[in-house]
Amino acid sequence: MRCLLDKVTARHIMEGMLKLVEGRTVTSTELLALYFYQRARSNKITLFILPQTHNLLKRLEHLSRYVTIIRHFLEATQVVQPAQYFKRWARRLREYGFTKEDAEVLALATFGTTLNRDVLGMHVIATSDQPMINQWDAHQTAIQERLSNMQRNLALPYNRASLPTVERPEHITI
Amino acid sequence: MQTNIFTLPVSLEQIAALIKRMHPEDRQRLLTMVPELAAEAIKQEKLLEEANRTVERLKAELLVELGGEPLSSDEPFLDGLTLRQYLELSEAERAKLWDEWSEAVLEDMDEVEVPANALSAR
Repeated sequence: MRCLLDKVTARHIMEGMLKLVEGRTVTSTELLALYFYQRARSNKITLFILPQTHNLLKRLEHLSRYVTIIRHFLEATQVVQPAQYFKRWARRLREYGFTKEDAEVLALATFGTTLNRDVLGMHVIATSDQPMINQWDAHQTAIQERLSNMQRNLALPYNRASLPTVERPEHITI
Repeated sequence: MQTNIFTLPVSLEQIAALIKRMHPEDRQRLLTMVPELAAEAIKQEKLLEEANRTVERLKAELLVELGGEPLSSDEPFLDGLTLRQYLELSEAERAKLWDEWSEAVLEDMDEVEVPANALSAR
């Protein structure tokens, strides 16, 4: 299974790890994000992060005391890359009321790939953004129809791309 | 996926706010009327217990990787902040800084071609 961590979930995992090793108590949201991170690592789930998350982690990496934590996270994740049709699909998703940023994350989960381009799309997006989850579920049928219509004119592998599920980390079945 | 049977005239957030303001005895009465709520609360409690145990193992693993030495709160973080200063900011402030620090704009990135035999998520 491939899972894209949205920006906030990735931040909660990173901040949670920093708090753990600084002796601070984590919030319940951070706890559940860390719990998912650990379950995913133990079960060989491929975790993906957004390019912007990767940029930030690279900025932190030069601070020597954080290297261990950053590497721990980077070794457990890959960076998703926008594949062809990502921008077109993100524009279409915005018509369903998603913010530009949410539409881009959702579009990357359908038209996103790895650095070596061996996969297309994610099975699930992990997010604690409940309004986004609700909106995605509410428009599911219409969005699926829209994707199918767009795919009629696309070649392989793009005509095999699919919609992800969008779930809170603690609700993702591994 | 959940099915809407009817539309509530109030939002779940409003119901939650109302329950928070309730007298404890009224909450007990509510639990008697909706026993499913108690079952959900127990499930959530068990989930948090399991999460705590798992995250304790992650903490131990990270501390071993750090040579057994916890990070200091005074450790420099980004933009002149110490780790303590960063972690004590509000959720909204940390989210804003995270956005400022991450810099990448997805729409400016080139889309890449994916070979026909790439593995789809179906």
